[in-house]
Amino acid sequence: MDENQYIDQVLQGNVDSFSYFVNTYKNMVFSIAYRITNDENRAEEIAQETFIKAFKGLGNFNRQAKFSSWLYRICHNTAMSSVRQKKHKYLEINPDIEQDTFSENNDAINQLYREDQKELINKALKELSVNERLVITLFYLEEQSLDEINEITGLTIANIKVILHRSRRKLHTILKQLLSSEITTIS
Amino acid sequence: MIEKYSKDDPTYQILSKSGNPSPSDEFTVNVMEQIKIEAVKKQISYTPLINKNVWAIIIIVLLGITAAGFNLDFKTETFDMDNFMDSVFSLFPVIQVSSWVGISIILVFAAIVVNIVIENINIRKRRSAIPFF
Repeated sequence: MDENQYIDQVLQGNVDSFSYFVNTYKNMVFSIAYRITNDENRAEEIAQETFIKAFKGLGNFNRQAKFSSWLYRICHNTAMSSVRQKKHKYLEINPDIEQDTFSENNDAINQLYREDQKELINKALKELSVNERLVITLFYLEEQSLDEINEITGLTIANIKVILHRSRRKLHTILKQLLSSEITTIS
Repeated sequence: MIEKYSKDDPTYQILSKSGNPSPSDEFTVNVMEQIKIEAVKKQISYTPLINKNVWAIIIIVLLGITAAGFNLDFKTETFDMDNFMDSVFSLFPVIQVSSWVGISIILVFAAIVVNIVIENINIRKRRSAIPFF
């Protein structure tokens, strides 16, 4: 059964059919909300709100569009309006970094325990701006294309490329700083 | 600029170690509970028995009847209170209506009845579409 058939069923009153969409897209929706809010509880609330909004607006969904992109866009807008009130002061980063540092960081992170790796990388991700964190994770972790990122965030392709380039360099700069302080702490 | 990253890309390798966040185990159940509540809310939302268009017709016809009953001359430029009150009092003992006013009254009542019947049919249809929870 394709997605349009599930949509028809929901619109005809078979609400249970909507669980197909929840099960299929919950991880991605949660991930977008989490990358924007940096808070698991808030991300879960936003993910729930996203599905409820999608259910309410299902009758207006344009069948020519991709359901996932439409859903992710709802999630993005909901999460962005949620974080708009809460401003976070990000670190001032000078992203002038050698390309070799990328591999050096990777080697250094490989030396750490799995839990420490996770903590360190997430700490670094939190220091990126909302758009930087979202774009870099959508691209690398969620394997979204530039076009798909454009549909979700509303950012232009050119802007996404700039953000992607900047966020990679920033991430590695932050990781280098965090790794050097980690080494200092150990020694 | 990269359009698609390579698995050898150090950024990918680093980020893949960050772990993928996932919602709680009860997430689907919680969302579906909320969705079902929303579905019920949608079904029992208030819909007036007489819609705006019918109300507009009723008001227009009633104004027409009133004007005909008062035998108002719309060309009169001055308003005579005594004449107006006479018209009002003369309306109560015996109301004489012309055939077109009578037809208008019947049409108004017919419109109200048809509208109520249609709304009832729609409400029954919507109720039968609510799934059993």
